[in-house]
Amino acid sequence: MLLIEDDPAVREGLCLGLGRHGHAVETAADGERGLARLTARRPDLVLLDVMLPGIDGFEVCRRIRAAGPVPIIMLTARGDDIDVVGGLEAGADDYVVKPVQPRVLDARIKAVLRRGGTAGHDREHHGALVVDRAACEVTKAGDPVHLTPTEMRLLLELSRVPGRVFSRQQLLELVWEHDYLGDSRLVDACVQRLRAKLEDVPAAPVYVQTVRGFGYRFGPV
Amino acid sequence: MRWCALLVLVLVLGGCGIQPTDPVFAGEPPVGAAPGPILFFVRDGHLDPVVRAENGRLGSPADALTALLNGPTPAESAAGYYSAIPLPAAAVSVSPIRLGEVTVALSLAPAALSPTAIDQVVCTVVAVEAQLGAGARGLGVRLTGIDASGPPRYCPAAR
Amino acid sequence: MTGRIPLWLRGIRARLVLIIGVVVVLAIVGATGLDYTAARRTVLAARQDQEMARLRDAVDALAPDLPVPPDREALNRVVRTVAEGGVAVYGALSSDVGQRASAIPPELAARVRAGGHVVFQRIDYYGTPVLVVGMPVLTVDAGFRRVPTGIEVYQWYSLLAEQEQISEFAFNGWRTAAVAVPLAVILAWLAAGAVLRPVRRLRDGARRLARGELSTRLPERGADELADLARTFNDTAASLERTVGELRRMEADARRFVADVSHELRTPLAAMTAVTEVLDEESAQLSGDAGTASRLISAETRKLAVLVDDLIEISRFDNGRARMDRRATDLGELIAAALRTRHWDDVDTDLPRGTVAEVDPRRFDVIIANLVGNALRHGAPPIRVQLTADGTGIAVEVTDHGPGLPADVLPHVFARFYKADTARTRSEGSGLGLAIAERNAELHGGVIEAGNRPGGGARFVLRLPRGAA
Repeated sequence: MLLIEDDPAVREGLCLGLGRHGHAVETAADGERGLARLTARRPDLVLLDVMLPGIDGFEVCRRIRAAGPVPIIMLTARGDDIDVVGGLEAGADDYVVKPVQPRVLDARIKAVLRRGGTAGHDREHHGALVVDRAACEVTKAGDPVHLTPTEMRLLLELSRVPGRVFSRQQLLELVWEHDYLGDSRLVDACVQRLRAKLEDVPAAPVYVQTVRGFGYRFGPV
Repeated sequence: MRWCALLVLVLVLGGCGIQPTDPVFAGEPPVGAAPGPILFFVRDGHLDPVVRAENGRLGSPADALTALLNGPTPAESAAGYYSAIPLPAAAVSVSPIRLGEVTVALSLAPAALSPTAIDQVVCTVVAVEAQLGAGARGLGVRLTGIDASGPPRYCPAAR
Repeated sequence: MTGRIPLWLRGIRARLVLIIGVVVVLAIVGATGLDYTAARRTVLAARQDQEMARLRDAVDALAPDLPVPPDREALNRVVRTVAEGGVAVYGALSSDVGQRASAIPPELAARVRAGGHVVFQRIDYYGTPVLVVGMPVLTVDAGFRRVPTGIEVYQWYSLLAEQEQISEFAFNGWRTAAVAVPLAVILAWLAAGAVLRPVRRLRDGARRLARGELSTRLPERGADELADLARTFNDTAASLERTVGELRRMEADARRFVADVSHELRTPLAAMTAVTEVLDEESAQLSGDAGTASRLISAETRKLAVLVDDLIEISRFDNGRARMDRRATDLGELIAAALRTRHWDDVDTDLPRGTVAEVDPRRFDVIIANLVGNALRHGAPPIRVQLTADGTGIAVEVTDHGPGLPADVLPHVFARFYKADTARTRSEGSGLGLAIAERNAELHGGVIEAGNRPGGGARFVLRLPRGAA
């Protein structure tokens, strides 16, 4: 994986800590170098610090997201609004507040990576969407839709039981594998990104619908 | 605050209405009634006044002068009064008091009169005017007769 | 006495109106009184003098023709001619047309007889004022002395017309008062407003200032004492605003500093935290001092991280930037999960199912963790957590059987960095635990009560409303 972090001590520390958990970590000191590394070799996951010199952390996130469906975990120094919301809007899959113990980070990393494949059969047809669970692909009217692992996982979980309402809590546990203390904003941001990619009219969603006061559901189409 | 209002109230109410009074002096009374005029005759060589009460009333200065010129009554003569004024004489007029002077017109010349006679006339006029209410002291009498009038004369008894 | 006077009579307006009213009444009464007295004097004097002069001149004119001594007929003639309705008297003889001699007031008769002057007296004749005038008729004797003839003339004059005329003056006075007094009262009422309005403005301004609106200012109109007062008020308010602004700024600076420092600490802490695991794993193999040292570093790094987190959390409360993420949660399950995650199995619980409230789960978890953690650290088992709910809200009671909270500690227990046991200055907590828990409870619109169990041991109760406040 790729760690983009400007403080050398934190870089070294996390490298060491994560290395102990069996992760191969490449590092970059700023956004530019990080993006360069990205194009050179595709990592499995990117750990991105928000506070970066040069190109802003959010901008880097957006560029990484634009380049492909690599999972991104934001490292924020503050758990409050600005950083988290900005990060989620920029396309991060999850966030973690520094200082973080490597084993906690490891758990998160594993959870994100797990969103790769789930069990399922056949290809499901929902309106104009075709969901292939085994291949983890989604096409809409024949065109493939590029989703991040998290977005894919969310869609798969929702569409597993179409019409069933999932609360944010449940989605946090199913998709992000956070405990009861998870941040529901993660769900909302992801749903928004999903809609932007799937829906014809994101403001009037057909596939991923909001059930006010309860949560989200898939369809009915 | 309260006693102030009370005081005002008392003053206001107390002064209401016309209040009765004790007797109050209010000026000079009328003078002018008399049993008769005072005539100055002569007795024992000097002027001596007499009240001619026969009329019962005062009368006018002209009447009094006429009475004087006619001389004393028998009763008065008997008492020793006589007149130094020669007869016949008549007062033609007695003017009202003007500027503290009375002008008397006689039918004879004042120059022909003796001082005593003049005094008689003057004092009688002054006395009667006094009886009528005039102030006697400063009253002067001008005698005019056939000849011209002289200076105002005053009654010696009136001083 | 003051208590019994109603409020509207006690105010400045009432006082002003009263004073002006009294002044006007006094003025009118005084003026009317003076007017009246003068009128009385003039009107009376005029009439009296007129009548007396007329009578005197008439008698004077008649006198020369008056026989002296007079007989009754003469006296009658006098009465008929000059004193119609009156009486003429000569010693015991009196006229018999007109009044009777017995009607003459005795004091008046005595004065007339004794004095030799015109004498008048006012009497009250059954409510009507009457002027009685008496005059002796004098004569001059041979010695040019004025002496009374003995004839006296008396006449009565009714002063009713004068009385009515005078009364009219008084009536006019009252009529003026009837118009002027209400007018004056109204004017006073309005004038009072001119004073009251600025006073009220001042009062309202002061109230607003007391409420905390330090930018309150009063208009400084005019150049009188009230404008002066307004100016003083404004200066005071400005000074207060400045000072309070300064203090707030300093406080904000201090808080920002704490927040900034805490954030700055996070970066080195992030690096240190990243390697504490490594240290832990390796310290088993390190011997002697190195091993102790590495364990020490690891432990202290963890504590430092907790402290910095707490500091940042408290800063967020202070700066008003604490975010709430409320959702309907089953509190029983939340508490159970909190205990389970931390492996606190020794705690007795009474958590009824289905107690749902709108809370921020993270913050609720923080409160529970703090309360139970404190019980475990400073109290003694059995430790009990009980969840109850009623119509208005929920309550979570955490009790232990330890020594409880001493009386001198109790008021300060929520204060920052206040450690209950001063001997044990370095416990696991940061000293901010209860402060943070309290703020979290406040954020939910609830409270935490600190106290002792009746049977000994500490007792903390968290009360929250069920829904968002």
